[in-house]
Amino acid sequence: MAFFGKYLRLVLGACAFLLIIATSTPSGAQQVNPTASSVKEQQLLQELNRVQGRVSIPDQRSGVLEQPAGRDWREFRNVTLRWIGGIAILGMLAMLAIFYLSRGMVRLESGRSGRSIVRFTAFERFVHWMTATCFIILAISGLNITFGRPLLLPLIGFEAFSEWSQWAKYAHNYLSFPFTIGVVLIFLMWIVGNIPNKVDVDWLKRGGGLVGHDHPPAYRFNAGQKAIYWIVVIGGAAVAGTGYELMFPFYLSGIEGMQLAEIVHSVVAVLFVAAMLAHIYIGTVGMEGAFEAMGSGTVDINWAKEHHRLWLEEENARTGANDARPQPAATAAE
Amino acid sequence: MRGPAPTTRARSRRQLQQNKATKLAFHVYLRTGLCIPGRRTFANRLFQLVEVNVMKAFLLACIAAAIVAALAVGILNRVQQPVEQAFATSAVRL
Repeated sequence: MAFFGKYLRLVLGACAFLLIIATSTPSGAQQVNPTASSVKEQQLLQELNRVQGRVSIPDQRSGVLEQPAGRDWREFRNVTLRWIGGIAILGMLAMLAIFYLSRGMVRLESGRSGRSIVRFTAFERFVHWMTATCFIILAISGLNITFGRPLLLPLIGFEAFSEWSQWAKYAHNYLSFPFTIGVVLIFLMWIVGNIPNKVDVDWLKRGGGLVGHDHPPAYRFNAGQKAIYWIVVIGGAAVAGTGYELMFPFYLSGIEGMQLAEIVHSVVAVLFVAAMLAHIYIGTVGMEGAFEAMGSGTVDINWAKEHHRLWLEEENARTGANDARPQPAATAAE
Repeated sequence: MRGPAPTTRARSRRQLQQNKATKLAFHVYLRTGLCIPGRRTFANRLFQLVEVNVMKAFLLACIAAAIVAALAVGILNRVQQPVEQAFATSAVRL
C-alpha cells in the first residue's frame, strides 16, 4: 500500500510538472512573439483598407502608415519595373549584337567622294551633345535607383554604394534642367524636318536600307530618325514632367499622384534608354560615316547621296551643285 | 561625283598618328591589346570614330550643362527645404 501511495505521488507530481510547462509555454510565446502584432496590423489593414493615426508634426500626411496603393506601388517598384527594364535594355543590347554580327557595319558602298557637305550646324551639335551628355548621366543615375541595390550594392559594399547613390541622386536632379532645355531646343530646332510624310512610308517598306543593300530616298531625316526625334520629344517631356513632380513632393499632387508619376517616369525612362542604345549604335559602329554628322558636322557627299538623297538634291538646288567643300586630308577614311 | 579612290588601311593608320593628341592614345591603345593593327576589328572602328574629330561642340555642351546644373543647385536650394526643416516642429505631444 505504501508502495502504491509513493507511486501515485510520483505520477501526480509528474502530471503537475507537465501542466506547469504546458500552461507556461503559450504565455512566454505571447510575450516574445513579434508576429502577433503584425497579424493584428494586417487584419486592421484588411478591415479599414488603410492604417493611419494622428501625428504631432506639422505634416499630417505622415499619419498614414499603410495604404493599399503604397503596397501595389512597392510591388511594381521592386519587381515589375525591374523585369520591364531588364527585358527592354538587355533585349535591345542582344538585338543590336545579333544585328551587328549578322549585318555588320552599313558600309558606304560607293566609297568616299573626298567632298563633304554640312549636315548639322555648330549650334545643332552643341544642343545634341548637351542633351546626350545629360541623358547618359541621368540614365546611369536613374538605373542605379532601380537596379543599384540588387546589382551594385553586393559588389561595392554599403558605404561606397551609399556615397555613389547620394552623388548620383544630386546629378540626377541637377542635370535634369539642362536636359529639359536640350529637349525643348531639339523640339524647336528640328520639328520642321520631322513631320512624317509619304517618303517615310516608302522608306519603312524598304527596310530603311538596313536589310540588304537598298538605299531608299529620304529628306534630311529619314523615318528612323523621325522615330528617334519623337521618342526624344515625347519621352523627354514625359520624364521631365513626372520628374519635376517627384522633385517637388506634394506641390502638384498627393501621394497617389506621385506614385503614378514615379511609375510613368520609370517605365518611360527604361524604354527611353533602350531606344537610345539603338540610336547610339546606328550613329557609331552601325553605319560608316554617320558619326561625322554630329562630330565634325559634315558628311561625305556619297554618304548623303546614299542615305539622304532627297535632302542632298534640295541642298544642291538651294546652294548650287558644286558648293560642297573638299574634305580635309587628315580625315580618316575606310 | 566620285573623288579619289578610298584610302588604304595603312594610310588610314598613318593619318591616325599624325595628330599629336591621338598619337599617345594610339600608342596606349596598341599596347592594351584591344586592336590588331591593320584589321577591321570592332575596337579599331570604335576608336577611329571617337578620335576623328576634336569636338568643340561637345566640350561646349558639357560646360553649358555644368553651368545650368550649377544654377539649378542655387534655385533648388532656395525653393526646397531640407527634411529636418520641412518636417520639424517646435513641440511634440506625448
